[in-house]
Amino acid sequence: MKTLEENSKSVNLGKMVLKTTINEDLKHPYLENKLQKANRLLKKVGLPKELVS
Amino acid sequence: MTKDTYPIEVSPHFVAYDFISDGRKGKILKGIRYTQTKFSNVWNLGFGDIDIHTGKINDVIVSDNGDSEKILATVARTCIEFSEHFPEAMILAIGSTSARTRLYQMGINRNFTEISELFLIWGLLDDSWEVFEKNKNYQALLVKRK
Repeated sequence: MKTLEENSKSVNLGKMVLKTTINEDLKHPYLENKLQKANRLLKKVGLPKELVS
Repeated sequence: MTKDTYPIEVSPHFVAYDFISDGRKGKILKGIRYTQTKFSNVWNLGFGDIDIHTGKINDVIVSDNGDSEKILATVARTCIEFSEHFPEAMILAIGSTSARTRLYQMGINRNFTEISELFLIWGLLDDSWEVFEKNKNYQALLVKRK
């Protein structure tokens, strides 16, 4: 699988063509930060009561 | 979804979605990533512009490409696609800024009829979840397929 960078560079914006090898590397630092933020929030507030069985 | 959306490219495991915004400032590559949190079946939605040089997703930049409605409808479409493959998933959206959270909220407001037919929607207000109501400013949003 291509890296996100490789994949992004393979996108031909001029021709509006997207390659089919989207990167699924979810360990990207940006996503890690987002995930940590989400985990902290969920730990603090939990889930809606309707979803807690 | 009946609204106009951009063609999306979906990754093999249905957790990454890319599309190209085409507006007054040109073509901008956008990325949406669903990542699993530590909480069972809760997935975090990450969305932003993809820097084609670094591959980094920038979720703070305001591209102002004049197509926000189409972009938000496209993000909503990825939620539908994702939830078809992960029907038990709860999707959490926390904006990188309060403005970005409002943008997500605007997306739900604008597409409320279609989204509410398919999803249960909650908003986080004062650190407490409540059933989503239009025109409230929430800290975060959570949706789950009905």
